[in-house]
Amino acid sequence: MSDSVISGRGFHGARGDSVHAGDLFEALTKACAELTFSASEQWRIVHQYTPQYADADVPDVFDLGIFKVTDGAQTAERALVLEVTHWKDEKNVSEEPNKSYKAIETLEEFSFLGSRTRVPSSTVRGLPQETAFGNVIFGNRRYVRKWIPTQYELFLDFVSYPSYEYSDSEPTDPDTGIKQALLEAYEGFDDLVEFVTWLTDRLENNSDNGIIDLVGRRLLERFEQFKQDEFPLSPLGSAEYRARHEYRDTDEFSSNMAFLDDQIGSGGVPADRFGLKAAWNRIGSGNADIEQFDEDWRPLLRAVLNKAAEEIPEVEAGRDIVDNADSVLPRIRDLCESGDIDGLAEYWDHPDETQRIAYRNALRALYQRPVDDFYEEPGVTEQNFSRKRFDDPVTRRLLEQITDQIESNAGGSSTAEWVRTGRQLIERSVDYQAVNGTNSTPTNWALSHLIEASSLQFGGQVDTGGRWYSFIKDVPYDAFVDRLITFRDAEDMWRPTFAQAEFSFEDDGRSVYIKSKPTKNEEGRRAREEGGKGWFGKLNLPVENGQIEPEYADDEWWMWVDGGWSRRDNLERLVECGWRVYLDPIALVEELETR
Amino acid sequence: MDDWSEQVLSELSLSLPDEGVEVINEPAGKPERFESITLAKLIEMCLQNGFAPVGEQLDLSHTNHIPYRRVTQGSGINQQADISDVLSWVSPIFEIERDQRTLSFFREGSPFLRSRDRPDLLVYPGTFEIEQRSDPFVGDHVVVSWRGRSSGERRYKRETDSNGPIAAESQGEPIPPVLGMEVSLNKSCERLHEQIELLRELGSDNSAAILEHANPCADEKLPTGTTVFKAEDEDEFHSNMERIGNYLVRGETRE
Repeated sequence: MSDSVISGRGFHGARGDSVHAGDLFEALTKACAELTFSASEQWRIVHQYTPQYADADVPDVFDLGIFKVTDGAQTAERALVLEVTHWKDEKNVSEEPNKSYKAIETLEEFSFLGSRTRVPSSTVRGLPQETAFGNVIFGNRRYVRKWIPTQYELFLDFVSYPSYEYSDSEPTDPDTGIKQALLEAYEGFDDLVEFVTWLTDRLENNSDNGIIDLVGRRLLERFEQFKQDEFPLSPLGSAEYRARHEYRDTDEFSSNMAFLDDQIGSGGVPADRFGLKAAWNRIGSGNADIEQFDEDWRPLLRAVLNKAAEEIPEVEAGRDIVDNADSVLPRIRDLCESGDIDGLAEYWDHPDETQRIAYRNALRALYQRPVDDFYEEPGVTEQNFSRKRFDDPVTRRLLEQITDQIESNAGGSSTAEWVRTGRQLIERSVDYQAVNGTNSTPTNWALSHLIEASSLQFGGQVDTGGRWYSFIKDVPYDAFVDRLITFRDAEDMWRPTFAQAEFSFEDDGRSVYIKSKPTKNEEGRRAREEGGKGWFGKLNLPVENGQIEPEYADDEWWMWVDGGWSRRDNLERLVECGWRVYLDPIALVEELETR
Repeated sequence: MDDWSEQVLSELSLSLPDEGVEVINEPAGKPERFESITLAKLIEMCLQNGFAPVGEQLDLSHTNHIPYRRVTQGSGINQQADISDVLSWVSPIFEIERDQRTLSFFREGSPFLRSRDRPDLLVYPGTFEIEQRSDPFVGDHVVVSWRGRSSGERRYKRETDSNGPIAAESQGEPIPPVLGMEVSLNKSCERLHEQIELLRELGSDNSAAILEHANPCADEKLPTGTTVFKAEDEDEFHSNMERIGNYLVRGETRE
C-alpha cells in the first residue's frame, strides 16, 4: 500500500459515504484481535459473524467471530464471539434509560447461541461446546442502567472496558476522546479493511501515545490475558445456557409450541392474518374505513376508535384547530409577523393541558424544522416539550425562534395560501399523533376492550400494568462478586429496573403477564427484545447443595403478536423464551376467562 | 465527436475477433461508449503486441461497480446481495497474458475498493482468482485471491453495508494498479482531481485521460505523474491511446 493512503488527503469527505462510529470501534477491536489471535497461529477473525444454526434460521449477526481453526477443519478448536458496543464517550454522563432494550437483545442473542453450543452436542456449525461470548465496551459505563454492566460481567465470559484503566479499586473515570480520534483518523480512508490494517500497524509499532493507542493497548492486554487463560467461561453463563437448552424439554415449552403450531396451521402466521394495527393505520390515515374490513373485526375496530378518542384527547383538540384554521391560522401569522411573543404565549401556555398540547403541536407543525435544538434549553426534554410550562426566559427564547421561522415560512403567501398550507401541515401532524404517537396503542386498547367486555373485571384478578425484573432475579450474586468490575456494592449493582406488562392476572399467588406486540419490518429485533424480557423473568438460578440449579418461574408470560410477524422462527424464539404466543386477541382473553 | 466514437467502436468490434476476442453488449450511451472504446483499444493494442486473451468474450456491459446499499440504521440487519452479484462485482472484466504475466482489467471498481467512488478503469499486473465457497465461519461467500507483486485474499460475504459487500476476512496487501484511467466527459475539475488523487493513493503508476476537448481540466495543471490527453478527434484519440497502450505493452509492469 502506498504511504499516501495512510496519510490521507481529506478529500473523502466529498464522497458522501458517511461511516458510523460503531464501525470504527469494531475496526479497532478487529485490529487488536488480529494482533493477539494471529493468522500464523491459525486464528481466523470474521467481521459480522452470522452463526449457522442446525435448528433455526435466524439472521443474528455478531460483530466479530474469533476462531482457531486448523486448515480444512469444519469445527473450531476455540472460539470467541464478540459484540462491540460504544457508550457515550464523555467523563460526565447521566444514565440513559433507552439503552436497556439493546442490552436485553444482546444478552438474549448470546443466550440463544449459548443454549445451542454449551450443551452436550453443539448444533451450531463450526462452533465448539466451549465457545466463549464477550462484549467489548468503549465509553462511559455509567451511561446505562446499572444492571447492564453487572449482568454482562456476571454472565458473559469476556467483558472489556478499554476506555478504563484497570484496577481493583472503585471505578475510575474513563479516558475520553476515542470516538473523535477514530473519526478523524478515518477521514483519510475509504474502506474499513484499509483502516483495520492501519490500526494494526500503528498498534504493532507501538510508536504513538494518542488515545487510540492507549485504549487499543488496554484491549490488547485483555485479549492476551484471555488467550493465556485459555478462554475461561462464566459459570453463570454456562448455567443460563444449559437452563435454556433444558427448558426446551419441558412440558410447558412443548405445550406452548404445540399451541403455536395449531394456530399457524389453522390460520397462518400473523402476516397472513388480519392485522389490527395495520387496519388502524389505514383508517387513521384516511385510506380505509371500518366497513372495508372483515365483519368479524369491525366491532373491535370500532371499540379501538372510541378508545383512541378517550386516550388521546389532544388528537381531538388538534382536529378542532384544523376545522377552525380559517380563523386560527391568520391570527397566528399576525402574532408572528408582529413579533407578539406574549400573544403567542397565550396559545403556547394554554391553561387547559389538552389545548396546550394541541396548540404546541400545531405550532411545531407550522415551524417546519427539527426541534432537537430546543431540547438543549434548560428543563426542556423530548418528553415534556409538548406539555410542560417552562421558565419565562426559556419560553420566550423558544417562541422567538418559532415566530421568526413561521414568519419566514409564511412570507409572501396570500392569506388563503397560508391557511391552506398551514391546515395541511397541522392535519398531517394530528394524523401522525393519532396513528404513530407513543400514546397510540391500538393493540393495547383492543385487549383492554376485550377484557372489559369479558366476565373478567379490572381491579379484580386482572389489572392494568404489572412488572417483573429486567434481569435474572434469583441468583447467588455474592458468590460471583469476583467477576464484577464496575459495581460491587449490592445496592449499586442493580438499582432494579423492570420490564412492564400491559395487563396482569393474579391466580393463586401466580401472575400471568400479558402484552401485545405489533411489528412492521422489525420482527427479528422484537423477537430478541421481547424474548429476552420473558426469559430473564422466567429463569432463576439459585444455588442448591453448592450447585447452580436452574428454576423456571411459575408465573406465565402471554403475548398477542399482531402485524408483520412473518417468520415462524421468530415466534418459536418467543416460545423458547417462555412466552405463550397468541395470534388472536380474542383467543387470549377467552383463555384468560376460563383459567 | 459522437460520429467518430461510434465508428471506432464498430471498427474495434470487427477487428478484435481477429485477435480471438468477441465483443458483446456494445453500449448505447455516450459516456459508456467512450469508456468502452478506451478499454477495447487498450486490449487490442496489447493483443497485437504479444499478449493473448484469457477469455474469449469482452462484455462491454460488465462493470465492477458495487451498487450502493444503505443499511437500515438501528435494524441490526444488513442487506443481502445475491452471491452471483458478489461474484460479478469482484471479477475482472477481462484478462490478458504474456510470458506468464497477466494483466487484469477492472471497470468502475476493483476488489480493493468498496465505495461508490471508483476510477473508470484499473489495470492490475497480476492474476485474480475468484471462487464461491462456503464454510461454517463465513457462510456462503466469495473468495478473491490475487498474485502479483504481492499476494493475498479477501472473503466477501453476501451481506452488504453502506459500502457494498462486507469483507469478512482479509490477508495480504492489495497490489497497486499498473494503470488507472479516468475517461471524463463532463466531470468537474474538482472531481477529476479527487479521482486522480485516489489513483495515486492506490499506488497507481497512473494516467488520467480526458477525452473531451471542452473539458476545462484539460488545461489545468494536474498532479505530477498524471498524463493529460485531449482527444478532440479520432486521430488524436488513436495517438493518445497509443501512448498509453505502449506503456502497458512495454511491460513496465512491476509484477
